[in-house]
Amino acid sequence: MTGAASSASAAAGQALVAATSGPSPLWYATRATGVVALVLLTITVTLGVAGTARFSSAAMPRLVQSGLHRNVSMLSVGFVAAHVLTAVLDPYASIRLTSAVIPFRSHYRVLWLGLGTIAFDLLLALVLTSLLRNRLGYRAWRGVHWLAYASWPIALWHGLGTGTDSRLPWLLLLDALCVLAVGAAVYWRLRLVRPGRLRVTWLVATAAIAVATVVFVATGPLQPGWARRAGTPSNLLASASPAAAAISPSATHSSEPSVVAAGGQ
Amino acid sequence: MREHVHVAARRRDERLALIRKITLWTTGVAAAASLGLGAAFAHAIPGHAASTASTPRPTATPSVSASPASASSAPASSSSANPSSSASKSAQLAQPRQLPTHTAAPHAVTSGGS
Repeated sequence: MTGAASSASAAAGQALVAATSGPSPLWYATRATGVVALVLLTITVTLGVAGTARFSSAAMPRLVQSGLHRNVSMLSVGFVAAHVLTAVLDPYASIRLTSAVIPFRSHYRVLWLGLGTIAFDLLLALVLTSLLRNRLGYRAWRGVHWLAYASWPIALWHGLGTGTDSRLPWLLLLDALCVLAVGAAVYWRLRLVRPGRLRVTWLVATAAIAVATVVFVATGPLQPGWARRAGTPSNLLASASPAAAAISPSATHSSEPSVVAAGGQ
Repeated sequence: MREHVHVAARRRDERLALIRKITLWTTGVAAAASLGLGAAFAHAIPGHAASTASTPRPTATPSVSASPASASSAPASSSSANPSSSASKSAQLAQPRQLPTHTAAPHAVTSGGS
């Protein structure tokens, strides 16, 4: 009698706690805005590369390209800001606001979150210098704008390394399409460069980044135990692993067991 | 001469209108995608749509304790014939380990970074 009453009260207590504590909506918003921000960044970079290549067509004149590039870049900044804000407000990983601008300060997946911070800082620099282009001068502006070629892959690796959903097939496909889009745009742009050492260097660098990304995904996020290797704090792993074991065998290697059960990481 | 100016101005206005139109469409699609993805993520978690506040199942799960391992290590021995579903349900009930605090809100299902 006493045992049944205690187990019933325990179950009721657990249900009450479960009802009041659950995945924060901010977590869903962080993931969703992160995916959308990556796609917008990809579009921005692709349009920017097309602009440097002086691409023009009847359907897409250069004025339209540059206008869209500017507007979509601002839109992507907005979604990145929403992504950062929701991540900071989400209480799970306790990411501070300073970690959003100062890289490698967070205790949660230090390297991969730090890459996101770097990408965000580069994006801010790009936008600010573009807004102040008339005051800076063309050469200074262009020198900073080249950082876009670094910010995009860094943002991609941040998503792959930190992302809860990196293992989802549709997201892997989306990432692959983004890599193909930017890679194709850069390759097409490089074809316009005079054959020589500079062209070869850029082609090799572009191919190397693409190959490195594929290798990283295959040996990192797609492998069991990535949450631990990525630097998820041990207390978060400890709180996740028993539930993960209860849901799915593969979930023992992830800090997000239910997402694993649903096909996530 | 004036006609060329008017033609050029009209063409420029058309292109600016095209930019605005595509930008608005892109913004709308991006916002809708964010909301849709967020909703999809929220409902992708097993049992999330079925509220955890539903009738608690009689399980052999021990009382709520501060030890997450002990709370979830005992698989549910409920009447469910499906061990994985009973394990998942018991895991959902067992996952909350402590009352939420100001500093860290425990989640029935762990949430993580982006």
